Amino acid sequence: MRHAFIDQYAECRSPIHSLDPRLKLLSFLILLICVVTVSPGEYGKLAIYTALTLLIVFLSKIPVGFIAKRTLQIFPFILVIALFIPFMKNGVPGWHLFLTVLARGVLAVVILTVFLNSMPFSQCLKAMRFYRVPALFTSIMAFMYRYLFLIQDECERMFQAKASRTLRRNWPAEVRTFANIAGSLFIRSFERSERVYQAMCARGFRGE
Amino acid sequence: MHIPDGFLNAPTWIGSGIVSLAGLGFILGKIREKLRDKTVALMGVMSAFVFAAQMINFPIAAGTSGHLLGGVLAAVLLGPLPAVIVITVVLVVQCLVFQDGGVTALGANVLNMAFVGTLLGYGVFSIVRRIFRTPAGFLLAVFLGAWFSVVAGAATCSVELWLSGLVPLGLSLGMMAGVHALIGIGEGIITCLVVSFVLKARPDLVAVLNEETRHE
Repeated sequence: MRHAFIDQYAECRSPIHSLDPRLKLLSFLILLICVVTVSPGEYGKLAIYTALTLLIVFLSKIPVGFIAKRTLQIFPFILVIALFIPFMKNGVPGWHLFLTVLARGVLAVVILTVFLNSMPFSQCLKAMRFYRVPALFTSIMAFMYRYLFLIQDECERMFQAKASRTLRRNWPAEVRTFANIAGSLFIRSFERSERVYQAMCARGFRGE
Repeated sequence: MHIPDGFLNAPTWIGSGIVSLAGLGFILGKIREKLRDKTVALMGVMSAFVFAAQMINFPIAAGTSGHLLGGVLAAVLLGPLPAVIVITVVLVVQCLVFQDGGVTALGANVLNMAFVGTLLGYGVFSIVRRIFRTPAGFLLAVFLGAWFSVVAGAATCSVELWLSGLVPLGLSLGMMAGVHALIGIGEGIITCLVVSFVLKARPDLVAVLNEETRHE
């Protein structure tokens, strides 16, 4: 079915895309840490990082609308912080703190979006392996990523089957059906993991 | 509840990152002892399951909808330690693939949802389970555990925001816990319904029951 929403822009061609994943991981991580450690009121630094981020966005050729959509995800959090600003009584004036956090949050999510959408997820995992992230963890991640599509499909098929068999029902029955689908999905996923493991053993898997 | 990058201050995100990393290392070691070379396949596929289950939008009253967080669900079905790993993997993928939650805030998010939420929720579940040893008591324990996991996770989140000097402690704790006490009811009901389905269909898969029969 349709899963274009994952790794949608990974195959574009741009200077950011063609950077070595290992170098990209390191440099983006450094940039990210620089951005999130800006102290309240350091607007000069923020201006430099904003310019740098805009340059990266421009170079990456990833659609601005897509990046904006991902950026909107952090706004519930910004709202919560904004709500509490009047109640804060510490040394830093509230508006400096709020503007800095807002800028840090937006810059960080834009940087992250560009970085992670400029290569397939598998490349990112490979780069993590290079920096000695334990193989056990990256293999679980790779597995999760691989089966995500399949299990998502399975879930969608069950909902299609349900939709084609039921008309609008009362609320308790509807919620129960949803829960039964989730329960079946668990059973099917568990059984699938057993089959996958057996298939791996049959092909000579001895751990790692 | 996924904290984005740029909100927490350095001591908070580095501190929670170290705590989460140490905890994860310990738990991964424990799980590998028990599951051996099955670890990767089981944890990977079950993480994908929790991810997919979180995407299901349950209809709630008046046109709103909510979704499962799945910490206590995973703990009851798979056992508490595998649940921590599964929820962590889900959080990492949500961060890396969908930019939901930040990279530097990942330690804090893992701490809130995988450790505090899942383990404390499971703790509540097993205490209530010991008090009421009936099938209805089991479901009550699942409900309370799932409810508590959501509230505890939210409370930890507001403590982290307070440590970062962004919100006053009392007010934000009250508000976050209050809002999530309501969200938790939905989580509790959905978790109960899913667990009761699995209990009917494949009781042999419910890890908590398997542990108990082994001890007897």
